[in-house]
Amino acid sequence: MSEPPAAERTRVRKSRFTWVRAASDRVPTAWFAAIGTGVFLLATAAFGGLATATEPPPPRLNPGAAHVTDMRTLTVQRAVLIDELPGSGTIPDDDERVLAIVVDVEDNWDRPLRTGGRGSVEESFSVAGLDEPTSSARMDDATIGPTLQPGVPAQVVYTWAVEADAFAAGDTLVVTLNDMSLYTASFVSKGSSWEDPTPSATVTLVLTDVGAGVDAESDDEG
Amino acid sequence: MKAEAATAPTPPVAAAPAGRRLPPWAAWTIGVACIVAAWFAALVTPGTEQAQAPFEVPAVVGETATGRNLVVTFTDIRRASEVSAGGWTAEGNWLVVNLDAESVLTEFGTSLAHTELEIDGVRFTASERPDSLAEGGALAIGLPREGSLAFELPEGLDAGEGRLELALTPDTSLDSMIVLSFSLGEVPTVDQTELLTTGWANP
Amino acid sequence: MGEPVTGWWRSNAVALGALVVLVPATYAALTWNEWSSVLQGSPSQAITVEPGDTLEYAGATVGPASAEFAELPSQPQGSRVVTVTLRIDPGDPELHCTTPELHEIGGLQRQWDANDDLGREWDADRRTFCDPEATAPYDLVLDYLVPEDVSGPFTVKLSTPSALPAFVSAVVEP
Repeated sequence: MSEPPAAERTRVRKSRFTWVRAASDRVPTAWFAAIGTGVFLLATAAFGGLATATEPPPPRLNPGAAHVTDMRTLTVQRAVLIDELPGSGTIPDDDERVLAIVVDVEDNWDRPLRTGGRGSVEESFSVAGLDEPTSSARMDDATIGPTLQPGVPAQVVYTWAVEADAFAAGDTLVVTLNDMSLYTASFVSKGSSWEDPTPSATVTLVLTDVGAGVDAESDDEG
Repeated sequence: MKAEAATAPTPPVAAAPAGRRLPPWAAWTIGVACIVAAWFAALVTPGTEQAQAPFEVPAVVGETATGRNLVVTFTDIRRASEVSAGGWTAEGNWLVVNLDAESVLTEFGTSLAHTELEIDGVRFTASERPDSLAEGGALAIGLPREGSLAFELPEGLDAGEGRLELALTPDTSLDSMIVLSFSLGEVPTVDQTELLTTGWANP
Repeated sequence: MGEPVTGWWRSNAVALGALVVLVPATYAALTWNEWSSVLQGSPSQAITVEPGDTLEYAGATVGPASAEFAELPSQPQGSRVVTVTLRIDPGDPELHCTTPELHEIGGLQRQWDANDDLGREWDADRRTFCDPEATAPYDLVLDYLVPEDVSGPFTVKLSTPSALPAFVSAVVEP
């Protein structure tokens, strides 16, 4: 490897390199930057260029396998298409049906975690082809938009109001599960929140259609 | 000022003022002492969190704790594996607190918006699943409302130092906060308990 | 202190004098700047109305205001109900006002909000809120739940966004 020309110029005593010095004296100074860039690009070309390497696809989990992160442990159970799901917080229009995904969640943080809204469990997963869920509710007592307490597992159903013919039984839904990072606000604001969803696993669900459905939700009185 | 002390002061008047100049060792000592004093001052100055901390009012079960706009009397604390409220029941590791609360100065915007429990560093909020004082509506001045708060704890959490915090706003800076300290292991445990219906303490 | 010290004071007298004047003036200017917009947009200037008087406010005639103690079925022990009657004669632009608060004069200066939950019989003619659609004069009848030991006098505070920062403070003695 040749040493950078600048260092060369200081080595006056080494007679071996005087020819280099003489040669570099002849090259206009401004060219060194261009020559250096060219050499760098040639070197990177040897390793595949400056484009970022394609990342390996995230690991695939089966429904029922737990995805554990610092924020929460999420186990996607099943996806169901149903005419309406009272108590879920989603009320479909006449030409809509409810798509429901049932998950088991446990808060792994040391503070309560919401299931919907910014920095919540809702941001730690996404379903291809769907926006954010219309609503979330506990399966056992139909509490809408529940708050999860640390260390207390709960079964939650996320629901979307979808057009009646947009989905059918047998469709596959790809759920991407994300890692989130904890940011602690300082200086101007207070508190900590989970931000920056980064995909780290996927689950493929097969949609079942239960038609009008057996009402699995218990009615709540408020 | 010029170093007049270097030249022999000829006027017999006030040789002292004309020659006033700190010797180097004194100047350096004073300078270092100022730096040390500044360091201590910086250490002692409270940071933002401390400067905006809430004013804690310690509470004891059975006695009234008075804050600026919030007066709370805890009447009972217990743990249960099954709680019910109206028609709702749930099982788990529950901590239930009964209390009377009233406001002091205003009625507008006075509800228990901050109901948090801290046990050994882990924070919990009062469960919104049952009807409870957690979203119990405005408090009245001088007329206590009674109700309960229920906290859902993880299975297996049976001991630790607990702090129950009550305040009127989610941001508790610089206002009163009623704090009930207790040891989780010493809280009596029952199998089944019922939450108080939110209402007047003296109807 | 010797000669050189008083000399310093004298030669810097103008600057020091300016400092003494400008530092408080800067503080006052900054404070006024920050607070003026807040005070303009909130009820901060009271117009006091004595019992039995009326007042022109935001194009409407407000008053007279009166109050009396009452008993209602759903009130808890140790409490009293103060029923305030306030006559409002809406002017040309309708009067949109916030439901008046009851303020204690002196003492702890407590403030109460109107309470609708005390078991009073439903009366369709009773107005418990400022009616922006009314054109004829009407009476605002409001119940406030206060502790037994409170006896007044009170002021009833009524404001409307268009007339801020002025607000009506009607004195009542039940």
